[in-house]
Amino acid sequence: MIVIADDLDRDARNNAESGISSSQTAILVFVPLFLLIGLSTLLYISSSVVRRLKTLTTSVEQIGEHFVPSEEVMRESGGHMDEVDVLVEKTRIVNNKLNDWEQELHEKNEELIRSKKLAAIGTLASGVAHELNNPINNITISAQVLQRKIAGDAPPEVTQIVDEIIGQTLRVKGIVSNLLEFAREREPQLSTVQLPEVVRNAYEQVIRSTDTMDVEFTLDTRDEISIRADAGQLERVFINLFSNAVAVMEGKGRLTVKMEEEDGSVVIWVSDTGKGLSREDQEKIFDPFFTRREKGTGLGLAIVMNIIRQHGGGITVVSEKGMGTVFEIHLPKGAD
Amino acid sequence: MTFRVLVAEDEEIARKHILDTLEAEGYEVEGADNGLDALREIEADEFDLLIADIKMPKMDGLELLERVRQVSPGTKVIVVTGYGSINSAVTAMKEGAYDYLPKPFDLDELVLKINKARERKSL
Repeated sequence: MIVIADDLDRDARNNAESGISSSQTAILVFVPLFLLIGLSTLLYISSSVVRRLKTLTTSVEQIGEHFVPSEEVMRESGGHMDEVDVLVEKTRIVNNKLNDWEQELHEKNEELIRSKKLAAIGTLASGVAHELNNPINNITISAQVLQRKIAGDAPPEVTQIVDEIIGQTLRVKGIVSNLLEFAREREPQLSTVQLPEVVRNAYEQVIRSTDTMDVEFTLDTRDEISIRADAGQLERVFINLFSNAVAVMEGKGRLTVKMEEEDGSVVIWVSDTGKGLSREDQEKIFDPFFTRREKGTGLGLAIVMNIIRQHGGGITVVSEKGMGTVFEIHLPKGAD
Repeated sequence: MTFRVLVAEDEEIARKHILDTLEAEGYEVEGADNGLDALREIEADEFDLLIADIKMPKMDGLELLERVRQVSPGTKVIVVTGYGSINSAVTAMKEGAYDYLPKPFDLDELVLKINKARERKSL
């Protein structure tokens, strides 16, 4: 019995040992194998992901400009950025760029619409003005003939009415002249002009046609500021701005012109102590035919805007109701 | 001494009033309502002065000026331009016009210019 039991036990031990030995062999073979396969797969997947991320990053980089991480971003990342950080940062930059471009595109589009609208109005204005020439001429001549015929014989009210007709035709002549000036958009004839001199001449012209007794005019500048510009057109700019200022101040207040040279350009401020402009009016102030005056044609500032733009400059308005108005003009000095 | 003036203007009202006014000032006057008729008048007859509107049917004022300079060099030409058409006025003066007048014009100014032309002739 005991011998049989010992035999069975030995067999069992042998079997167990052989099983353990097989298992050990299997472990020794398969674990490194699986580890190798696992690591290879992991390496393959990660390199594939990184490669794809790099491709994506390059594409994003190509869409945007060359990427330079900002100091702030570098600080936040502790001086090291992995592929995902880089991609996130690049996407953010590209997104910002796209927003900027969208804004720029929107502004350019607005500008294009405005210039197309102005061109259409210009064509219309020019056509109307030329067509009006003959009828106005006929009315003027007829009224003058009537004035000659009744001279000394007609009752005073008749003479007065005829004078009024002639006066009104002169007014229409002024409107037609403004329309043509607005529509003409002729190229500036550039020469070297002394800005302070142009400003003084313009104000002298305004004095001749408007009551400026109670207007205090100041020109704040050093003596010599010269730019390349069309002297006649620039004078028109200041005549229009000054006439407007005197009108909104109802002939009483301070009109100040200040000018300074900046790198390659001149900045001019024309300020009045008038009633000022509401926000809505400020947006429309340079639109043709927009006027706040009963007898205005609404072309003065549209002409100003056209001339300034043709000189490669810009004009903006800053105003507040009751606080007066300041026009800021930027003009390139141009090559001497 | 007579001073003969031809008024070439297609606007009837303006033409009539200019003719009446000049006649009252003692000028001998004729009218034409287009450039071509004005040229025919000048070819057929002698005129001291031509008042020519720039914009006219059949032949415009600038062409009329050019032709008149050829067929009747002694005739002075005053060109009437539309308001703001300073370029056509400059062209006309270069082409040999005696003077120009922008529309709408003052009758007194027109008479003054013609009086001056007559004084020059009599000198």
